[in-house]
Amino acid sequence: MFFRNKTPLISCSLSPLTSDDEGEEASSLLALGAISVEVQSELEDLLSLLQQNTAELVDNSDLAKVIFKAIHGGVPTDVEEALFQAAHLESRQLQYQKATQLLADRAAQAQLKEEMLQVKSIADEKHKSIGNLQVSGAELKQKITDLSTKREALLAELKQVEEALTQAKQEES
Amino acid sequence: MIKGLQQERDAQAHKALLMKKKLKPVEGSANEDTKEIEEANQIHLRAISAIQTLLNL
Repeated sequence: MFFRNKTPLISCSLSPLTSDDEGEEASSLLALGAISVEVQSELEDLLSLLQQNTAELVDNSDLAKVIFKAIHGGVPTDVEEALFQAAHLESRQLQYQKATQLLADRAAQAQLKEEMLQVKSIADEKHKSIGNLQVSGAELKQKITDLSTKREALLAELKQVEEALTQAKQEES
Repeated sequence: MIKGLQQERDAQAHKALLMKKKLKPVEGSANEDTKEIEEANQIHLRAISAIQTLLNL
């Protein structure tokens, strides 16, 4: 469909043009950015359609393609090229979806790694605490042994003192 | 007390090990994937911009 040869043209400022030789003038005006009323309407529809996110457009650009076909030849070449690529985003669907999935996978793996490191850190902390408790437990045991030995020695000395004291008292009496 | 801590440590270590087993390298590079998505976004944005410019919006 080439609306520019059948319908009034509008310039970039969207003011209607009147021409007896629309076909000839349309070509020259198109070069200056003039578009037909119908093309303008299609462009507005396409613009509305393009408000969806890129993923949706990549997933299904059928309607964009239909609109693109309707305006094909009715807009400047550079615009048409930009619109063509957008209308055919679906052709990148596999790569786009794969890239999206891989990015999501990497994010999930990074999250899992972070959680794993946190859990490992908790295990390490507990292992450290166990080590500390075991060391302090051994130190306490040694201290008890030392004190018991000292106690035995002191009790033996006390016994000797008591015996000496008893003997001294007996000698005195 | 130590026994309790040992059980907790072992449980956490086991959990960490299971999580580690689930860690797998993802093919390709993040830069390439980001580039792929960015290119599609740019095409999308260029189309919007082209229409807006043409319609003087």
